[in-house]
Formats: sequence, C-alpha cells, structure tokens
Amino acid sequence: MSRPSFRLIACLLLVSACSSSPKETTSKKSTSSVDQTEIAELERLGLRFPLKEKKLANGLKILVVEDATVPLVAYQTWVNVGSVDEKFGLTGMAHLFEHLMFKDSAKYGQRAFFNQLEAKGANVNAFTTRDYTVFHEVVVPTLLPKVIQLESDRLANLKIDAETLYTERQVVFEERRLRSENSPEGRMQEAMWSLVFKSHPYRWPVIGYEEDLKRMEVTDLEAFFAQYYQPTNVTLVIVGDVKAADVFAQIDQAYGAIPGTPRPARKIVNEPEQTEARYLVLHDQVATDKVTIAYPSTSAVEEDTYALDVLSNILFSGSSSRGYHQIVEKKDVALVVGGMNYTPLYPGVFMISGTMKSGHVAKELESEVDILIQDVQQKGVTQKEIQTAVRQLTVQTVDSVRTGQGLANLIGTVDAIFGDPMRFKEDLAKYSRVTNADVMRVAKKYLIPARKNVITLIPGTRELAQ
Amino acid sequence: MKYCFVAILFSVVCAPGALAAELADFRLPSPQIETLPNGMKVAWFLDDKLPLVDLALMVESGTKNDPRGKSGTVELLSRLLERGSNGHTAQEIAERVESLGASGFASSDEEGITVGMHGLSQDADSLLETLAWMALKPSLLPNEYQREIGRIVESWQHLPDSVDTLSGYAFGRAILSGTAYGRGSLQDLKELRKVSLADVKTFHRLHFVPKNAIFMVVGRVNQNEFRKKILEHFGSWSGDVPKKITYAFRDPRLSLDLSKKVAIEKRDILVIDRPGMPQAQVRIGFRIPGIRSKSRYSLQVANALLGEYFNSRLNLIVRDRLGLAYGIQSSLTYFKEMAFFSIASATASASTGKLIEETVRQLRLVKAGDLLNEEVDVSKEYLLGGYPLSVSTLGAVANRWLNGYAFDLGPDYMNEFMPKISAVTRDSVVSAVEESFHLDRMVIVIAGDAKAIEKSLRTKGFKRFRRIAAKSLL
Repeated sequence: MSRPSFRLIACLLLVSACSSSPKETTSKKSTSSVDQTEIAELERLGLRFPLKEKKLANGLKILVVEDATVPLVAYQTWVNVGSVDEKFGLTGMAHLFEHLMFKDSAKYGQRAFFNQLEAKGANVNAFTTRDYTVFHEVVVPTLLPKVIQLESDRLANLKIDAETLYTERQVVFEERRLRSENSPEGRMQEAMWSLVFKSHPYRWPVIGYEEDLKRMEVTDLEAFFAQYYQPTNVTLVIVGDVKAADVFAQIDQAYGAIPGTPRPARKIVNEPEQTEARYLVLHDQVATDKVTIAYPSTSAVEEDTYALDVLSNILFSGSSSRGYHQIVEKKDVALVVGGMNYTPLYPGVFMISGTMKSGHVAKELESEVDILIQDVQQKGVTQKEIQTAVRQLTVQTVDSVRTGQGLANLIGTVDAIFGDPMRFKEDLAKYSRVTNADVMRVAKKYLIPARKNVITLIPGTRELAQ
Repeated sequence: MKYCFVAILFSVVCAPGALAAELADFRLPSPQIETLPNGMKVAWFLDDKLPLVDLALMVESGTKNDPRGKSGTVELLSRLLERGSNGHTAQEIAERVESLGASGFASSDEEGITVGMHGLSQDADSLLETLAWMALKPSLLPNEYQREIGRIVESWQHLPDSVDTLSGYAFGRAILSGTAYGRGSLQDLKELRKVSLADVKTFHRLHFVPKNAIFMVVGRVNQNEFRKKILEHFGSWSGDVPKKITYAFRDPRLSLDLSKKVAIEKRDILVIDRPGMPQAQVRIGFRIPGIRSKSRYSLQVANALLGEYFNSRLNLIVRDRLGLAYGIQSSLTYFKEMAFFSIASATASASTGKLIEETVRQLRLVKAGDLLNEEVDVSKEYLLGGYPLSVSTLGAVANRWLNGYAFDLGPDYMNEFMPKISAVTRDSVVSAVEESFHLDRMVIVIAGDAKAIEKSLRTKGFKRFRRIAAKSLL
C-alpha cells in the first residue's frame, strides 16, 4: 500500500546526497524549549535516550548515548561543511574531500580505515549533503579505540597528493555518471535544484560538475582541509555499548592536541523570492513523461515546516493519501506519484514527482496537483487527516532509531541544524499541535503558482549536456 | 609480481584468528516456534525495546510455481491482495492501515508470497486483523484484476528506462536460462494476458493453506494475548498441502549455450543497446553449487575476497588503482534449487573493455589458485566481525531465520555461520573455487551505448557480441 511513495522518496533521497541518503528530513525545528508533556509522549512509546555531552578545550564537541542492547558501537564524525560552502567554479569539493579522507595516513599507512576496521567486519563509510559531511563506522566495542585513533589521525594529519587526487577524481566521475548522467531521475533532480535556486549555493549538485572537479589542485584541497576540518567545526556522535566517561577520556587523549581555530563563518547568499513559474523540459529514452514539481519551502528551523510536513503527508504519504488516490487511483493518469517537504539547514523544496501512464502527458499531473493544492487552500483538511499524518510521522521517528547508527544519525542531524542534539524530542508534540488553519495558511503561503517550478522529462533523444 | 600490490595492503593486518576467538560466544536469539492445530507455523521473535511490531505471513509458493503457460499469475495475485478484502475496497484497507501510521504490503518472489504489516505495537491487533483479511479473504474483483493487468503492462514498458534495471533483467534471464527461475516474475505480456481471474482465484485457493504458510511476529507484543488473536483470525483456516509444479524457461534472445565449455573471448557477450548512455552497466557471472553444497562457506570467503567490501581485490584494482568505477561488487545469489556468483559494476563506455579484461583476469588468477593466505584470513575476519552488524536488529535476525526455514537448512543454520567461516582455510577456498568457478561457462551482459561499448571491447580482444535493442526485450 505504501510502496509507490516509499520508492519515490528513496529515489529522491539517494540522488540528493552522494554516498548515502541525507538526514535533514528525519527531524526538525522550533525555538521553544522541551516541556515535560513532550518528553512523556516519547517515554510512553519507550523512547529514552540519556545523552551525555562534553566539549574539549579545542572546541571539539562529543555526544554519547550509552545503549548496551547489542554489542556494537556507532561512531559518527559530523563535519560542518557541505556543498553549500563551495565556490561556484569549484563545485563538488566537499564530496571529493569525503573520498580523499579515506586515503593514506603517514602514521597508520595505506587505506587504514579499510585495513584495520573494515577488514575486521566494521561498517565504514561516509556521506556528503548540501550542509554537512559525515564519516561513520559501526564496530564491535573492542575496535572503538582503533576508530578513535584513526579518526583523530585523519583530522590532524590527512595527506593529499596529486596522484591520489587524480585517481579519486576518476572514481567521482564514474559516481557522477552513475547517479546523474545515466539516470533519468538523477538528471531531473539535478535540473530541479538548478531551476529552483538561482543564487543560493543549493543550485549546484553535491557531487559537483565535471569541469569544476578537473580544475581542482592539491593546494585548493589543502586550504579547504585547513579551514573546515578542525575541532571547532566537528561534532562526534557515539551511540552503543560504551561508557561515556571512558569514551570522553579516550577522545580527549586522541583529539585534545589538535589545534582548534575559530569555527568558519558561513556567508551564504540568500535566494531571492521567486516571482513567476519556471519550466524546464528535458528529453530521454523513457517510455512516458516524468515530471517533478518543486516549490521553494522552509528550512528545518522554521515553525512552518511542521505544517508543511503534515501537508506533504496528507497529500502524498501512502496509497490512501489525497494525491495518490486522486492521481493514480481515480483519474488514473500516472503510474506513480509521490512527494515530500525536504527541509535542510537553509530553505529547501516541497517537491512532487510522478511518472505518467501511456497516453497521458506531464501537464495532466501538473493540473491535478494544482487542483489538490487549491482544494487545501480553499477547503482545508480534516482533523482525521492530520491525525493520520502525525501517526505516520511518529512511526517514522521510532523507525529511525531502531539501530545505534539510526539514533546517531538523528542526533547528529538535529545537532548540526539546531546546535541542540535533543531537539527532536519536541517534534512529535509540535506535529500534533498542527491545525487545519496552519495547513491552509502554509498552502497559501508557499504553494502558489508564482513559486512553482516544473521539470518535465519526455521521451526523445537525450541532451548531450544539461 | 602480480600480488605485490595486494600483499603490501595486507601487511598491517593483525594476527588472524583473534577476532574469531573474541566472538566465539556470539549467538543469535532463537525464535519460539509453534504449530497451530491447522498446521500453520508461528515464529515469535519478541523484544520490548521499541514500541514496534512487524507481522508477516509467508506462503511458500512463488513465481516459479506459476501455472504452465500462465506466467504472471503469482505477481497478479500478490497485487490483488492489496486491492480489497473482506468487503472493503482497496482504499478502505489502505486508510485502515495508514491511519495508524502503519504500512502494509503484499509481494512475491520466486519462492513465495508475503503479506506484511509494520506499525506501532499498540495497533498490533488491528494490523493482524487487516493482514488476515488481505491473505484469507481477498475480494479478487474483475475491475481490480483489469486494473492490475494494466499496471503490470505499464510497468513493463518502463523496463528500459534505466540501464541498471535493464542489465539486471537481461543478466537474470541469461544466467538462469533453462531453469524454473528463468522467467522471473513474468515471462512476457503475451503470457500475462492468458492469465484469467479464475486462474488467480484457483492459485489462491490451492496455495493459501495453513500447511503451506508461516506467520512471523517480530517486536513488542503480549504473546499470550496475541496468540489468542492469531487463533481467532487464522484458527479456522484449512486446506491440504498443494501440489507445486515448476517448469523451465529459456529466452532465446538472452540464452547462451552454457552446456559447452568455451573461453569468454569465444563466447557471445550480450550487449543491450541504449544509444547515448555515457556509462555501461556490466554484469558478469556463472552458476555455482546450491545452498546445501559443502563448499558454501568457502565460496562465501572467496566472494568476500573478490568483491564484497572496499578492500576486496576487485575494488582495490578496478576502483582504487585504475579509477575505472565507483564500485565493483561480487555476490552469491541463492534460490532454493539454484545459485550463481555474479559481479556488478558500471564504467564509462570507453572503459568497458578494460574493466572486463581486468575482472576476467582476476577471476582466472583466483581459479588458478593464486590466493594469499593473508587474503583468506582477512576475508574471514571481515565476515566474522561483520556478522554481529548484519544481525543487529531483531528484524534482521528474523529475516535470516526465515531464509534458513524457506531453504530448509536445518535447526543449526542460525548459529553455524561463525564456526563454519572460522573453519575455512586457504586450501578449502582454492578447492571450492577450482570446483565451482566455471569460467568457461561465464555470462557477460552489458547495457549501454552498444557502439561505444563494442569498440572498447574489441581493443581488449573481445570480438563476439550479440547486440540486442533494449526495446526488443519487451
């Protein structure tokens, strides 16, 4: 029943980040403090996360949740740098850097993360988003000291040389072909971000452009490393079978001598308000039209995000949602349709995607989505629909913390966005306070024709370059 | 010289065997299994940690059991299970589940049909009732039958949209050609159109019986209370074990004569043409002995060593040394009566020849016994150390148990992984590879821009191709 939209969302997430799915949408917002009622709701569901926090003298922040349910430890290094920090002309550097971080160490030798951790069964990987870069390991507890050694070493002493840069750049080109150039959905996603954003650095893809990647020199990367990869710009999140006091002591010993410089300030160009609808048509060898509709949305820190999240669920979560029922079941014009409110650190996008049935064109889906939105703007939604959306968001939250890795992702995301790792505790209560008036208001404010962006992919000969 | 590169990389690895000793006591939680009076088995994996529950009914008849000449019957049935039951429409069923924030599904594969629910524990009773309706009382209405036929036809047209999907589809047909698994979920639209609603109803009546099913309960429930509910919904379910038929299928466009031993340079490479695609999707593989083979765990080590992780041989060479691909993965695929080894990667069209040349070279080296002790030890350590991670949730444990159950691997299966992998030696890997890596019966399928791919292949001595237009596969 929920398969179609799940598939679509998975697809959207995959192409938005490079090595893994981004985590911006797992938790959210707000400015008020957590009250006891909100915490009680989480505890009623059995969710308890006693979190311990420490900051080293050099600015490194450490967050630990002890959980001995299984003999595993999730260790995540959140670096406050993403593609949003890149300069146009050198796009893809944050992601390329993610690759380079797995290269050689003077102290621990070649491919130390793979030789000394993965070779013992550890899960070792990383992902880059528009806002941050995350390196993550899942290990048995006895490997934790080794993780701390290796992670602290690459933060202090990463080696970059021209040969490594050349080879890893080739790998990134292949990754780009795989995720973007060879994939109709990947091409549409890349086009969507560049259509919605004209000034903000969200307009370029996380993986960057090939010509920019070719332009990068070792000196560019060394400067990037010095600026961003230093203790004040890093948060460690550790969840699992550990004792916080031991972890703090080990980390202090390993990272304590790394000098911290002031955290780099982000100077991001704001996106001007969109004043007229934008359309883009692409061609590819596909059976039928595919379409993505995107409206500039909110950032994760804005209060309106709660109502927009609820609205996106009412419209597109599951086969009983308004959008799926109207477009796929009743009008029968599309094979699949889905949508989500994607809210990273800076204002994101409310996006809807669908694949048309044969004999139907993208314009029909666009018209149907217009009708759905107008209906919400004029007549609102029911309390039952809001309750369903809140229940869906509740299950989604509980699902996200099934593993230590999942909980670490959630804590890291919320901390990266709010600077407060436990802010997610407020989410469920805030969702439950969303009213019909809130939903109508955000629909009228954000989902208006002048803010619409439509990317259509129609059957034909694909463009050589976008 | 050929191993200098690999040997250097393994020089920092700690003493083999240490991790195995450390994890010697690792045991997976076993389910409680009970059989209801009507023969339906129930497997309980209970845990109070999170307020979640997963319920699944697996019926042990899958697409390989489609009636002869009516491929698509099982696919249609599994879709129709979601399209209304017990007098409720599909929309009403979806609302009933989704209003709880839960999700439900019905799906099929070669071996079985599964109906499942996932949601909060507090809603377990309601989810169970809906699941029972879907599985036991599906409406199977004519209009819904027509709708699902139409949707399968529509989905089928989209197969060539993605070269990744295309290569996987063509490779599956080629490697499984001439077996009951060769059709996948659907042979072709011609056969689908022969499947009547009566055929679907008959399949449901014959195969949805308690003695052909197992029910899984995973997560937080009150076992005593929930057992009563299961009996309430499934206790009166009846029927005898069905007679299951299977029959082989061969798609002539994608079949290679694997009965003859032929070097890959002299065998056709299947090239699925999608002009203009910048990257080629590559699949390489051959059949191996089945899941009950004595060489299974040695082959698992060989697979890990070749391409299961970042430090495996193919990744070291193809990705890190040559920069030819973002990744290259090898895997072992097991069905109940069939198995194959495969390698998947993607590279720029112009590099296809080089990637295949290097991959085949490594396979030949391994087949010739060119394996370092250190490589075997590291792969064992990787598998042993990674095992706790792969079963870190109760759902993962339950899935593993279900695989063992479906493949009839016996009660020791759950906890034999660690000792069996620990017992693998370099000699046993060499012997298993020698016996099982049928490189002269290798299948290579590439999807992408045929012209550019074939040009690249020719430069590396691969000169026999069978070019197939993507759309002609529909």
